[in-house]
Amino acid sequence: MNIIVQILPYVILPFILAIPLGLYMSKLVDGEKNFMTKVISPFENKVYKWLKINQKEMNWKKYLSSVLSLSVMSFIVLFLILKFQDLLPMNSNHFTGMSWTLAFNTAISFVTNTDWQSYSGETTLSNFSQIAGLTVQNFVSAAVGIAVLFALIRGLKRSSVNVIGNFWKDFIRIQLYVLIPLSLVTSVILIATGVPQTFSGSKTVDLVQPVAVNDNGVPITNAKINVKTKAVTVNGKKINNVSIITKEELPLYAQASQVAIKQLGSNGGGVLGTNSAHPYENPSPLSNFIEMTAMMLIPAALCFTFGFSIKRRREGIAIFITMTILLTFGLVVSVLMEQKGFSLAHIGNLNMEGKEIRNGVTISSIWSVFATATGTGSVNASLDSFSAFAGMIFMILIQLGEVAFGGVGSGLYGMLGFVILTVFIASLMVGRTPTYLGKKIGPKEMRMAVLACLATPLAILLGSGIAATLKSTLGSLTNSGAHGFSELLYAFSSAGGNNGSSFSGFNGNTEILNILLGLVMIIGRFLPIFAVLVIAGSMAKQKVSAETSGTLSTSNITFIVLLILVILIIGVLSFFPALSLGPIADFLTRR
Amino acid sequence: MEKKKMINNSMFDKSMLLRAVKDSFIKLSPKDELKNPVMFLVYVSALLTTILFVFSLFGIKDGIVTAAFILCVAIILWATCLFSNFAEAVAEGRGKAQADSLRATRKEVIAHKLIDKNDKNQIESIEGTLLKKGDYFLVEANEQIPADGEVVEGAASVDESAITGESAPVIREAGGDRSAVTGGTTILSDWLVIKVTQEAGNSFLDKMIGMVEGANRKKTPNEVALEILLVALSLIFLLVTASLYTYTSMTSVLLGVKDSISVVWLIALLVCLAPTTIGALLSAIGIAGMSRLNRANVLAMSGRAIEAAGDVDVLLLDKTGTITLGNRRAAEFIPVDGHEISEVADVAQLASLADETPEGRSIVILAKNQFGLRERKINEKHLEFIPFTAQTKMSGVNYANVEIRKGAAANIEKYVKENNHQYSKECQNIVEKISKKGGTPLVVTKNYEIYGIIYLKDIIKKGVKEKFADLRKMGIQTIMITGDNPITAAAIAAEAGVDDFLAQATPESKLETIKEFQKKGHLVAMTGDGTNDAPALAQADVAVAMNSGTQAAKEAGNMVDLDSSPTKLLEIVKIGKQLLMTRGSLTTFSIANDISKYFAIIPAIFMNLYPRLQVLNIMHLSSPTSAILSALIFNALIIVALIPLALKGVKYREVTAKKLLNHNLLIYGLGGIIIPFIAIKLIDMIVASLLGIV
Repeated sequence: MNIIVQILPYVILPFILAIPLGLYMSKLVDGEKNFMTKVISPFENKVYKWLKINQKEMNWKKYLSSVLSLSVMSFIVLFLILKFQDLLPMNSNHFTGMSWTLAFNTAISFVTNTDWQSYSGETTLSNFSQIAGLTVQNFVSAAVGIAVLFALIRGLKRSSVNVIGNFWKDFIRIQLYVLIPLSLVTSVILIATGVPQTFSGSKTVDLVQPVAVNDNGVPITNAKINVKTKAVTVNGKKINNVSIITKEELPLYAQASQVAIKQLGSNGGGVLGTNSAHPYENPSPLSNFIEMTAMMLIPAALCFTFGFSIKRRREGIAIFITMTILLTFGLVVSVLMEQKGFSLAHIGNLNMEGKEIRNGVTISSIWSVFATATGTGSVNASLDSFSAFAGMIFMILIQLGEVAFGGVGSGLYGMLGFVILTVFIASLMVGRTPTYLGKKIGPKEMRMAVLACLATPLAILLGSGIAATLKSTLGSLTNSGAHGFSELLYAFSSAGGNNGSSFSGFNGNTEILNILLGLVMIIGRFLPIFAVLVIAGSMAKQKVSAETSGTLSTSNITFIVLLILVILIIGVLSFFPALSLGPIADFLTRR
Repeated sequence: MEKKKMINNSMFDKSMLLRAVKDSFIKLSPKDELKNPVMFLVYVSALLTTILFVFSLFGIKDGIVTAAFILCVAIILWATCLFSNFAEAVAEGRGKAQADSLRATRKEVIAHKLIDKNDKNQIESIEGTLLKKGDYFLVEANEQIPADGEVVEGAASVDESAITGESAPVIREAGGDRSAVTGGTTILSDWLVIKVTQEAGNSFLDKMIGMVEGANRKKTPNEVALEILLVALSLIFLLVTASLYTYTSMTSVLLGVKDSISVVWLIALLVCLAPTTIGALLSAIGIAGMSRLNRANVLAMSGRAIEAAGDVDVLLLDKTGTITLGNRRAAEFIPVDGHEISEVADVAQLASLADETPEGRSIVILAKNQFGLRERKINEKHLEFIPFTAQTKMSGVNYANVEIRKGAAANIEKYVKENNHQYSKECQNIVEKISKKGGTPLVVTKNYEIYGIIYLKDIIKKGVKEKFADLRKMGIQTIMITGDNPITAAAIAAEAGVDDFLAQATPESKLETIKEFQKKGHLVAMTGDGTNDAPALAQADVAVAMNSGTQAAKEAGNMVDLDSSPTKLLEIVKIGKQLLMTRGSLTTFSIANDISKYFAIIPAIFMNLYPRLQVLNIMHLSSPTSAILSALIFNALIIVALIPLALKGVKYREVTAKKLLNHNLLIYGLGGIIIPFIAIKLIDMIVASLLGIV
C-alpha cells in the first residue's frame, strides 16, 4: 500500500496530461487543425518554402529513404562536430576532438535516440558540441521516431492507397507543434527549480575546504592541510608527493534546455557524466518530479493518439493498459526489492549506496524503471548499485523491446509489432486467418512484424555474444563474476534497445566496444523502422475486411493478457539463459 | 440408397501405418528435410551430435559429457526427426490410398469418335487418351466414358460411384444443368453423344488424384506466414544458444572454472527451445485438413480455398434443400362461406388423389391424418382426373355431375367467373393473409363454388434455426436465396432465422449481392450448379459447385461437392476453421512448452558454474544428465502424442471468437505450460532409474 501511494503521483500526472496531448497529436497525424494552428502555421509554411519541401505524400519506400537520408546526414554532421570540436567555436574549456571511434559511437548513439555515453560531458564536450551537436540530435531523433509511428498509424487506418504521409512535413510539424513548445515549457519550469541555463562555460571557484590528493588523484582521508605551507599531515605524520586542491570547477552549460528534450524525447543523454544524479541537471525533488513526468508524457500520449486517429479509442486504450500493466509490474518489483536492499554484516543495509540523498531509494527506483521502460535511459542514481534483482528488472524492461511505453514513437510501433504477432496466433486459435484492424496479416506482414519484434533481442544477443569472446572486454568490467557479466549484458541491452543507460561500472570507451556498441545501436534502431514502414505500406494498400463477432477482438481483457504473455514469453525465452548467468546468479550468490 | 464412402474411416489402418513407417525413413533425405526449416535444424543437430559421438570415441572430448550421453542425445534427435516424418507420412497415407483406388478405376478405354459430329453412325474407334478438346464421341450402355465432356445428344443413367462413392445412378442429358459427364464413370443404360471438354492428363479424375494425393500441394499463405514466425523463433534460439556459449566461456574465465560447457548441452537446449512440436506437425495439419475435406466428399481446387472457408462471414444459401425441405406441404384446411372443414378436406383430397406431386400427396396425407379420410380406390366413383396443365394451372377430378378443381387463387377466380359464379370475398381475404405469412394458398372448388383453401407451407428443416443462431454467434451471416416473391421469402426467412434474403433471385442479382458484400469487406461463400450460376461462383470467395452441375459451374467454383448436397457449405466452413484452429492451438502449445524446458535445462548446464542456480530446478530432476535427456525425450514424444490431434483437428464449437479464444488458451496455452512440467518429471523418474541400473 505504502509503495502504491509513493508511486501513484509519478504515474497519475503524465497519464492525465497524456489524453489531451494524445488528441492534439492525432490531429497532426490526420492533418487536421488544432488550437496551435493559427499561431504556428504561418511560420510552418515559411519553413516549407525555405527548405523547398515538396508536400506530396510518399509511399513507404520514399518515406524510408527520407528517414534514412536524414539520419545519415545527421550522423555525418554530428560525427564531424565531435571529431573537430577543437576547431569549432564555443570551446571555452579547450577540449580536444573525440577519438574517431568515440565520435562514431556518440554520433550513432544520438542519431538513434539511444544516447549511450562512453564519455563524461563535462570533461569531453564543448558547449558547441553539446548544443549544436547533441541537443539538435535529441530533437531530430525524437521526431524521427514519432514520424515513423505516424506513418504506421496512417497505414493502418487507410485503405487502397499507396501513400503514408510526407516524412519531411511530419518531421517539421512534430518539431513545431510538439517538441519545441513542450521543451520550452519544460525548460522554463526547470530553470525555475534551479537548473542552470548559460553559455558562459564552466566557472572556477574556491573550495570551502581544500582537499589533498595523492599522485593517482585519490583523496587522502583524515588529512590536515596547511594551505600556506602546503604541508599535509595525517595523524601528525607528514606526507609527501601530494597535491593540494583549492579550487573546483562548476560545470555550467545550457542544462535546462538540454535536460528538457533529453527527458521529453526519450533521449536520456546527460550534459554531465552523472546525468540527472547531478544537482545541476536535477537539483530538487520538484525538478525530479518534472523530469519524470516529461519522460512518460509523450510515449503515453501516443497510445491515445493512435486510438483517436484510427477512430477506435478502445484500441488505443487497450495498448495503454497493456503498457501500464508491464510498467506497474516493473515498478512494484523493483521498488520492493530495492527497499529490502542488500545488507553486509559489518556495514548494514547498502541500499542507499549509489543513490542521491535528495531522491532516496523509492524515487530512485521509480525513475530507473521509467527510464528503462521508456527508452529514455537517463539516470538519477547509479544503476550498478541497485540490488541484483532490481537491476534485472531494468534490464528486462529494455530487453522486452522497450514496449512499456518505450521511446517516443518507437515504443508504440514496437508494441504494434507485438500486437501483430499476438493477433496472428490468437486469430488462428479462433479459426480465422489473421487480420488486425481489418487488414490481413499475410507472409509479408508477418516477416516484417517478426523483424520488428526480434530486432532488439537479435542486436543484443549478437553484440554481447561477440563481446564476450573478446579478451579486452574483461578489462572494461568493474566487478567480477555474475555482476561483471551483468555489466556487459546491460551495456549491450542498453545499446540494442536504444535506451542509453548504463551500469556505470562498465567502461565502453575502448575502440572495439565503441564500434560494436555503435553497430548494435544501428540494428536496434533501423531494422524495426524498416520493418514498420514496410508494414505501413502494405497495410495502406489493403482493403478493410469487415468485422463480425467471429473476428478476434483486439481490445478486450483476453487479448491484453495474451499480448502481455507473448511479450514476456518472447523476452524471457530470448534472455533467460543470459539473465541466469548475470543478475539471477548474482542474486543467488549474494544472498 | 446406401452410401459407400471411398475411404474407410479407421485412422490407423495397419498397412497404412507400415507404409508411413517406411516413408518416414525415406523422408530422412536432406532434400525432403530442407522443406521444413524447423525440422531441418533438428536434422542438422542430429548429424552434428552423431559426429561429436564419433569424435568422442577417438578421445576428442566435448566438455565433461560422456560418449554414452552424446549417443543418447543423438538417438533422441534422430527419433525426433523420424517422428516428424511419420506424422507427415500418416497424414499423406489416407490421400495416397484414395488416389490408388481412383487410379484403379482409370483404365484404357476405346472411344467411339464421331467422324462427323452430326452423324452418330459414322464412328472411328481410337484410344480414349487420344481424344482432343472439341471432339465428339458416342458412349453406349455398360461402357466407361473415356473423357470429361458435355452431353450434346441423348439421355442416360450414369454410375458415378467411382468418383462420388454414391452408388445410385444419376441422369445425364443434353441441355440444362445435368449435361456434364466425367471421364471414368460408366453409362448404365441408353447412349450419349459427348463433346470433349478436357483432354487426358487434365481431366477431373487426374485433378482429383493430384489433389487427394497432395502431390501438387502448395503451402498456403497462412502456412507460409506461420512458418516465418517459427523460423524466426528458431533463429533467435540459435542465437541464444550460440551467445550462451560465449557468455559461459567468459564467465568461466571470470570465475576460474574449467570445462564448464559442452556443445551437446547447447544442442539439446536449442532443439528443446525451437518450436519443434508445431514444426513437426505443421504439414501434417495441412494435409489432414485437405483430407478431411476429401472425406466430406468435397474436392478443393487449392488449399487456399479451405483457409478462405474459415474466414467466410457471409453464406449464400439456397432455400430449397438447405433451409426448407425440398417441397411445400399442406398444413391446414380453411373453410369459407360457411362450409365445414371436413368438407374442404374431402374435396381437397378428391382433387389430389391422382396428383403425384409431393404437394398433392401431402394434401392426401393431411386429410387422412386429420379426418381419417381413407384413400379411396381410384376407380370407386368412376373418377375422371383432370391433370395440371400449363394453360389451366389447375388440376382436379370430374365424376357424375361433380366438377372439383384446385389451383392458385387467380386461376380459380378466373375459372369460377367464366362459369358465371361469384368468387368468394372471404376466400380472397384468407388468400392474402396466407401469402403474407409466406405460405402458398390453393383454392378448392366444387361445382364452381368455393369450398375453402388449402394452406401449403414451406417446411423449415429441423434444427436450422439453431444452426443459424450458432453461425451468427461466430459472426457468419446467412443469406437465403430463393426464387419466391419477397413476401413469401420474408416470411420464410423470419421463420428460419436467416439474417437476410434475396427474393426472386436471378443470376445477375446473385452476382450483385456478392459484389456488394465484398465491397463492405466480407468474404462470401455460395453453392451453385447451373451454368447461370457460373458468374456468381467465379465472384464468390468460396464457391462450391455441385458435381451434378454443369461443366461451366464446376470450372467457376473453387470446390466441387461430389455429393451435390446443399448443406455442404456448413461443413466446409467447419473444416476451414478447424484447420486454422489446429495450427494456432498447437503453435501456442509448442511455445508454451519452452518455459518448463528452460527450468529443466538451465540449472543442469550451469551446474558447474553456479551450483546455486539449482534453486531453479523446481521439478527436482535427479541429475543434470537425466534432466537434459528427459527434456529431449519429452520433446520427441510430444510429437507422436499429438499426431492424432493434428489429424483430427482440435474440437470445433460454434461460439463467439471470445469464448473460443478463452477456451483454446486455457487448454493449449495453460495446458502447454503445465503438462511438460509433469511429463518431464515423470520421464526423469524413469530415466533416473534406468541410469541407476546402468
